[in-house]
Amino acid sequence: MTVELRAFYLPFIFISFIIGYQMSFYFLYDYYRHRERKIELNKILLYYGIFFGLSITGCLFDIINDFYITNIFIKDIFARMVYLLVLIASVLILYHMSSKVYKEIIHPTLTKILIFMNIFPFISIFIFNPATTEFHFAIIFISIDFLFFLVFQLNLIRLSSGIIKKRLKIIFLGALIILSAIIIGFIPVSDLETQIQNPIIAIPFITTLSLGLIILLLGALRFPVFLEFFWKQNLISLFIINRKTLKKLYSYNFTSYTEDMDNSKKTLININESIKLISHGMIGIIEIFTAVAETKDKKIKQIKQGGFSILLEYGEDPISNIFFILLAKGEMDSNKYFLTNIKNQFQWMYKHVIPILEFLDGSSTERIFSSFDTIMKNILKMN
Amino acid sequence: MLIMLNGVNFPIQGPFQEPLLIMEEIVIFFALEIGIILWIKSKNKKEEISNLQWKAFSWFCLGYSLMWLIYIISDYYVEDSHIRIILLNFGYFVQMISGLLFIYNMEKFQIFFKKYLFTFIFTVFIILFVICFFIESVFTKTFSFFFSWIIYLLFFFHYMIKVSTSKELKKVLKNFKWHLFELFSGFIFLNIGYALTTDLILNLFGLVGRLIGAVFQIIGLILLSLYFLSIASIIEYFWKEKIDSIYIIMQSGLCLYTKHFREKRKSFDEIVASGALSSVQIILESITDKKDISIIEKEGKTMIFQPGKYIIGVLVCEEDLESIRITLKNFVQRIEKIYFNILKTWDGNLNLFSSLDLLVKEVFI
Repeated sequence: MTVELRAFYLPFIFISFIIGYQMSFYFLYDYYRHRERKIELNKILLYYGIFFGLSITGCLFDIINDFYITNIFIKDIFARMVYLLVLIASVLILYHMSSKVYKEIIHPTLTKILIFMNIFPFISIFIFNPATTEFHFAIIFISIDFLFFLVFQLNLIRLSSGIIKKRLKIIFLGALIILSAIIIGFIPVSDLETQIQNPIIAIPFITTLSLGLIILLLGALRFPVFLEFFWKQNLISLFIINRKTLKKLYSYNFTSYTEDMDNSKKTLININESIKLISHGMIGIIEIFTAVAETKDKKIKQIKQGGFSILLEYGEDPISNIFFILLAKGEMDSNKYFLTNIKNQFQWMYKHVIPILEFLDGSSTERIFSSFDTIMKNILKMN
Repeated sequence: MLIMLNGVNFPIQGPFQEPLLIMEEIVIFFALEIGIILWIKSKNKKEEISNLQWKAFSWFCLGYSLMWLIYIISDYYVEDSHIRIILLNFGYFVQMISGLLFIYNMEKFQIFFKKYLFTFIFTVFIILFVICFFIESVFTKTFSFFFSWIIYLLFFFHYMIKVSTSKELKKVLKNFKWHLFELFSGFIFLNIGYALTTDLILNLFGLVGRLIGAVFQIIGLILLSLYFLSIASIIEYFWKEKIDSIYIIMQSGLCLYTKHFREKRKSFDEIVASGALSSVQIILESITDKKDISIIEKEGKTMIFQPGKYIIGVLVCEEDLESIRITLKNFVQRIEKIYFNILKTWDGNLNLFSSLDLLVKEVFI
């Protein structure tokens, strides 16, 4: 044969690593892109990025160790580095999973116990010799961490909706395929050198691994902002008001998205039906606040009342006289993101219409802006 | 039988085989990945003009990866010299076809000297290449290297000059210099990298040169893909000067909006014109029994009709370019999205559409 199995196997392994690094980079980039939104759940992108990046680096060290390093001392360091990197990756993702925002998914105490238990493999990789069986004791903990992560991922899928749910499903599928690649490649033989001498193991292993990573990468691409769980259930209504005329341009009632609506929320919706109160009231509050606090250049962004919050956004030139009011139950960062998104879409669609509003009668105005319903429904489907 | 090429043996073996295979397969992977990403992007965003540019470069990348796959098979796995030559020729053919598709798609949105000039020249060369293959297959290597790459070079040079000298782009685009750097350096890296892997250069530098060539190609592909991904808005400035006027008319023939981008014609009644234009569309629809875009071409002038659900957009321009068609379609869809409920039951009030002027300015000027 002109090309040995090793020369066939290694390019695929390196390509798999490139895919892995691309995915890790993409998660980090996505986190960086959305980090200003300050949505707690979005940190999952950061931890996914670090987790995959460190795990792939660990595997890369393993390949370099097995195929290119001959010096015993350096081999020893590399073997310890492999476990160290994978363990750090596992502990970091567990640390993120122990956050309170996931209490609906997995009990934080359980995750903290698992983090604590990872101290043992950390110690073992430093005290045992890589040539001994005890050194590989860390694999048991890494496997437990991995299974825990898969359960977490499954629960995350269950609670999420829209595009996020789809993306998480793809990531879960990719992780399962990678797990099967590891089973195919490492259950029959324990090390890579033996593996590449056996095409029946090496070829399925490398193809399954590449496939799993490609699927993971597809899941990572264009990962949307991760809004808080059940954020839609807390929305009550939206008003878009012309500040100049105090007239409503558009309104939307979110109650169709709310099934478990309680009485207090119902009462508020009844009040909301009086649009005059909303528009005049809000303008009044803004004016009073500006005068009292002497903050002409600053704008009110949020008003909290009991268990409710009123979020405000202001249009930018040429629609600076338009303001957006979102009524919601409780306080969630996702609502702010949602309102900004609505503002951007509305601006894009109607920035040319707003300057001519004074020439239109009430019914025409209503008819024009009622088309925004389609956009609203699309935004709601996103997450 | 081993093929010897001034010190380099085919199939390639020895200490360089493994690093070369790793680097060259990474070239295949990158080209394939970029090709697929751009292809999906162009399919998902059909409404964006930049999809033509993405599609063009995606063809280039997909062809490039297939070409390299064939080269790897012929250089590492084939021992028979005759089969190697046949495979290499197949690789050159793939490269030329993907090049043709790249140039054709690029010429769809802008004109280089004359409409589809490079596409025509490239097609002629492909035919000559096929004839040459059947007459004497040894010469096809030289033929493809010199002729197809010369056309590629000419096309790219012309494109780069057009981009770098555009005053509009300089004004509008952020990081204009960085985008130019991506284009120029990507082009240079890719070409030098490819040249280093050819048999001709292999005689001079051996397999080390081929290894460096593979690295150069990876860098070149990444830089060019960055350029093609980020430069989406560039092509908008190549067609704007070709538009004469726009009409937005109701299906009934009533004129909603007219704008002349150049000098206004004096003795021309726009109400009559819009009625006539609407009749043209109705006639064409009845003849073809299909509600779709219609194009009427006359020497130096083209009329593009884009029907929507309630309105018809008509553009009078100098050339029928895909980019203009996409923009018009987008424009009609956007109007119908904004005025959907108004258009359904329009009572003839033209004031409702006075905002269209601002929208036209944003899209066409």
